Amino acid sequence: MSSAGPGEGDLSPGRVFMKRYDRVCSLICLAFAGMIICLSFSVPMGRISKPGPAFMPFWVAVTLALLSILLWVEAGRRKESSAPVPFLSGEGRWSSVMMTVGALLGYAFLVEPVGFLISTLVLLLFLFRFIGNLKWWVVFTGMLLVTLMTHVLFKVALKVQLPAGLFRL
Amino acid sequence: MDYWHNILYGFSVCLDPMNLFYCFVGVFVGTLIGVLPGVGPVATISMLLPATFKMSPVGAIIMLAGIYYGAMYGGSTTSILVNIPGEVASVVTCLDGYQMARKGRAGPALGIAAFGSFIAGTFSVVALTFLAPPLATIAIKFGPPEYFSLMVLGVTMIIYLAHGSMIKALMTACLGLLLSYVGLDNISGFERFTYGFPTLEDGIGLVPVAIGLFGIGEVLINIEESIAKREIFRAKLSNLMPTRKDWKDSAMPITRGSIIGFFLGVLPGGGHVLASFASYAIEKRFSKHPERFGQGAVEGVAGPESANNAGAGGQFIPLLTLGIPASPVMALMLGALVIFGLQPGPLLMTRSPDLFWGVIISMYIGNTMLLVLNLPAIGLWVQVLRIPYPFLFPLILLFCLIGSYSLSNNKYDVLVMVIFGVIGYLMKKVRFEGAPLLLGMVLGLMMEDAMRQSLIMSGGSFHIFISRPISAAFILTALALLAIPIVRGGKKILMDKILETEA
Repeated sequence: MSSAGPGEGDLSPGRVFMKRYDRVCSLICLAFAGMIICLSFSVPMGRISKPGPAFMPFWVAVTLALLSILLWVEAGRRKESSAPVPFLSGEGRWSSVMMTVGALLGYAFLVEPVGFLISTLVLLLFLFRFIGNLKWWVVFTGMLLVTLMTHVLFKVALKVQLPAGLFRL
Repeated sequence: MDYWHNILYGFSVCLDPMNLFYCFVGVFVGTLIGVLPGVGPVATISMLLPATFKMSPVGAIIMLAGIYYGAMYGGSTTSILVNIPGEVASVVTCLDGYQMARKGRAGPALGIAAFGSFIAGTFSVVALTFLAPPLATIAIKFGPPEYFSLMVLGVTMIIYLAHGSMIKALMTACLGLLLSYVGLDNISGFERFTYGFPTLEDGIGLVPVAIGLFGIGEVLINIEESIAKREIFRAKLSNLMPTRKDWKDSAMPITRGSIIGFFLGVLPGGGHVLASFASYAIEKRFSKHPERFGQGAVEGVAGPESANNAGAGGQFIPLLTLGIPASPVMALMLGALVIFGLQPGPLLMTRSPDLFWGVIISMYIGNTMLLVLNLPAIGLWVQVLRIPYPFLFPLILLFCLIGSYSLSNNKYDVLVMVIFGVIGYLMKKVRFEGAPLLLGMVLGLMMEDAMRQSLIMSGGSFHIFISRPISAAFILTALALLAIPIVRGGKKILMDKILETEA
């Protein structure tokens, strides 16, 4: 059995307390601020009477770094009273979150070479069936209707330019 | 031109059939997304922004404004019938609205929410009509120090109003500011933080970030938490008209909500969310029976719903008169105006009177349309609520993808949207708010330019920000807002120590 207090020991999904997350966030923000501070030195800083392009980014990054340290200290002092934060755990559906993100990334890269119509049909098929768990007939009806309606609405009615892709559809 | 001439001119603009159509589309879509939990006005306006490029600027802004205040109406329906706020500003409506529904009074709850929203919405438009021109005249006198201080106040206000930790809100605002600096520097043309990627030279787009944070992030959270399990109120909605007693109990909350909402909406960073919470707190304090609040008190619905609608109208004042967005939605409006080649600010009224007065007057008409949409057509929205989420979320994602891609026909915008979708999801999990980030991102470059110009004006002296009275007032207010939680926190620590010692 772990003797660690809340937020200190148990790191299994769905059992982590907010103070642990806050400390992780403070470190990420501190690293980001540090990176901006370093990069600011490669951009002209100017002088106080004529500030250069690095002036504001530098001082905002310094502020962010200080706030990150403050959050680290504050989280350490905090007495954790709230329940653990469920993370990537909601009823085992976190894999659906990952798959959805993957599908969106895939769409981003495929929409131009393959075209709007085909990539949208594939995306909707995937989302309706494998994330939404809908029945096959609903999936096919839904994906065809939605693709057709969005094509008519955006491309025909609103004249939005959507990629035609390989088959020039 | 006097007021009446301007008002008539505004009516002549928005009674144009196409503008009327755009107004209707705006309020209809606004109510729809208000009803649907998980899609807010920020994501919707971002998604639909590219679709407005072929419209006239007046029609486009009328439609986008309609989406915003329409969402305020729609949000109450979900709060009352499902106990899930359709929009952040409707969170408090859940407390008493849902209790009224459970007691068989869903109809009067929806009715008073719609009437209250209409009265407050109309009040705010009247106030906007008469206050915007004098404020624009004052705003002409603003120089870079005043603009900088006002933007500092705006960012501070949104941090002060953050629901959770103030440190986290400050950090998020800083991240937003830093993101805005990516790309070419406005003054020197120097390339900053682009890592050699040509696509970053124009900076990180506001719209893909907004869609990612508020659209994709919300959908990912809902996918994980299985929102399909929500319980929908199934009783028949027979009578939507509030009783005479309901009207008597709601008269003052609606009046107070309208006034509070409008003035909080005008404050940069304030807005409709604060307005609804403030109204609820005030009504509870004013009530002779505060114990009824949370048990289905009609005042708990009438006040906040009026306040959030009045706040939505009030938010147009800083945008139209100063060119400063008071909230993420107004930031997108600002973006839309700039895309159309218009510069919001004190000169908008004289340079584009058709847009200025057309948009303001369209809100009178839009509010009337919303009353019709939300009372006789309430059955439609109840049906919309019954659309299963597994069918709904792919549609939302597809609209996000189209909105983001069609902005500049660039797949990198989609990539940015997905990345910020994941960031938005993670931020929600660790209780970092998206609004300060987006507002920081919008105000970042404007603040930087104003500050650099001010320092050049003063020869490097920060004294310029406190030596000019208007600027000093903004800075002092911002400092006071930051000091309040620190003083409160200090007091609490002191009290805890005293109690520990006594124990």
